[in-house]
Amino acid sequence: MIPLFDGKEMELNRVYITGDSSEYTISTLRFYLSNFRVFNSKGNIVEMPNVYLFDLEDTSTFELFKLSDEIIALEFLLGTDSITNVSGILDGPLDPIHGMYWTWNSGYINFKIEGQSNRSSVQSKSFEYHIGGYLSPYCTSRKIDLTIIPSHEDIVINLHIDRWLKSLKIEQSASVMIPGKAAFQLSDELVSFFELGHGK
Amino acid sequence: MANKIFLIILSLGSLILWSFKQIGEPTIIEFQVPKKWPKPHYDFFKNPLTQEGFELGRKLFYDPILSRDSTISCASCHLQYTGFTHVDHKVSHGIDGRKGTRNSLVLINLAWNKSFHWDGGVNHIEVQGLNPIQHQVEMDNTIEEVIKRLQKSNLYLELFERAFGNKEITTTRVMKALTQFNLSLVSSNSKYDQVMRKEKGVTFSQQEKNGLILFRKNCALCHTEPLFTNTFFASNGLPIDTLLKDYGRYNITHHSKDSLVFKIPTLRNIEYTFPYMHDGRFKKLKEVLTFYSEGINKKAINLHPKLQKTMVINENQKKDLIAFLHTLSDKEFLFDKRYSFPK
Ligand code: HEC
Ligand code: HEC
Repeated sequence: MIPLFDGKEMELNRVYITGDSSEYTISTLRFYLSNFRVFNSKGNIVEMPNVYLFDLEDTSTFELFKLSDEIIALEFLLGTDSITNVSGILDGPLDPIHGMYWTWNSGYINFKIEGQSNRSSVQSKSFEYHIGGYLSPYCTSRKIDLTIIPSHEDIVINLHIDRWLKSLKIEQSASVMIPGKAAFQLSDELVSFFELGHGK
Repeated sequence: MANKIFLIILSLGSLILWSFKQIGEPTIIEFQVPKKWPKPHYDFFKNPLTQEGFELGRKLFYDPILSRDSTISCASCHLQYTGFTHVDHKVSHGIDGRKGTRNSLVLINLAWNKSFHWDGGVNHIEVQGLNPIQHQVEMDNTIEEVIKRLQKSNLYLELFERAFGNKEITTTRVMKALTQFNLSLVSSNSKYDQVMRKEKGVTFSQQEKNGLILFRKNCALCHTEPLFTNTFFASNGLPIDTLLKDYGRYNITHHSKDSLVFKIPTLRNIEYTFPYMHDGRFKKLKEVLTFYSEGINKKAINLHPKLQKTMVINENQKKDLIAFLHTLSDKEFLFDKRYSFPK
């Protein structure tokens, strides 16, 4: 899993200036990936029980898992499923210590991005999107399917952060911190910026 | 030579000591469901009650170490003698004297609750404790800091080992221990319970009997026996507090049908849990009854159908109802040493 900015691996706290002279600095990027189903060329499906917490601050979270099969497709959830959200206290990547849990409205923050941009209209120029919520009609986890051409290279999933940020209306709303319609729409848009990348 | 022998004896001695300190399996406590009560909502299978888990939870509950400046414990807002709520404060007071926006809730028979807080925003008792620990006006701490502090305490290391088999201190363990203590707070030995169990020599007075009949007619649909809550939410027609503007469950669901809808609280030990309602606006039970009989705005949005017809209760009947409500006091629970500050 590698987040990209302008096609290159993104770095934390670096000032990026895009073609339209927008500036972006990302100070936090963290999100959950779960319910992986891996389809191999023999026609089998391998289900991965783990939940992965990707954290831009911790490169050890970039590698998700190893399989020796020839993989032809991947399916996974961006975020956590609703059972996870109602199961009480959980360990590992789901430990609320990671700052990905709301305590006043129980549930996981599926995707968290914080940073600064000259497009933000708040005084500190900051923006923060905490996307979560597992209850209908505003469930924010999203299924992602990727078809893969088998090769000997590692499979890389990219998230094109710059393109996503460009599509956001940061000027109008620099902060979403609660479950609801806004979070729901953000996650709808977000999924299209996950793509299959090229081996490292 | 003599020295050497001495040394050997010493190490033998410490060996024996060490084996005495070996920690055994935690002692399972069977959660007792009072006769004829519904099944608890909590699944004890995943977090079995143990004596050691309960004692650790109790220690944590009474320890201000959980708050940023070590001044506030859970018990600061949840006092045993008042049904584990904050006595005489409309809204709870936390760290640095900061005021919250809601009246502290009682901690009674929590194993039957399906959700927690006045707005039901907390969906599981195991995650509830994270809220006060991290809440800016309550304990204003982080779970990371709490774990760091606990890890520095030899006593806690030992208590965690006893409860969970090794000295590892994690969020899960802290929360599970607190949960065990909270779940153990069962109140089921009020006069009402004794009468219902037909215990020898315990009977309702005529006034209490009248009160029970009035209660069943007017209140029990929501404050349902034997828990004295049906564990759902409703609007009982309280006008919105103009200062706090708390829309209750709406804040969680964003459904207009949940606007001004709040948790239906249990009425067990209600004699001692004043002030009443989510914002603590009533000090006396009499004021509550006057509200139900005369104060409900029939046009209030989402007002529960049961309360749309005026409740006719005269002054004498109010006294009867209050006499009945007082039979829900459970002194044994309020003074049970097992739940009090650990010595
Ligand atoms: C500063 C006061 C304060 C402190 C400290 C505090 N609480 Fe509370 N507690 C409250 C208030 C206020 C509510 C109601 C919150 C709401 O509805 O938003 C509450 C609600 C609860 C509930 C939910 C009860 C129900 O029926 O829904 C539980 C359980 C609870 N507290 C346990 C604890 C524990 C455990 C601690 C210590 C870790 C603690 N509290 C610390 C004030 C406090
Ligand atoms: C339609 C459901 C409903 C009915 C009927 C009802 N209540 Fe309530 N009751 C509630 C709700 C909801 C609350 C909490 C409201 C709030 O705080 O906003 C409440 C709160 C209370 C409280 C305050 C409890 C506390 O811990 O603060 C008391 C006391 C009470 N009710 C007594 C009664 C009595 C006595 C009757 C019958 C005369 C009655 N209720 C009928 C729903 C109901």
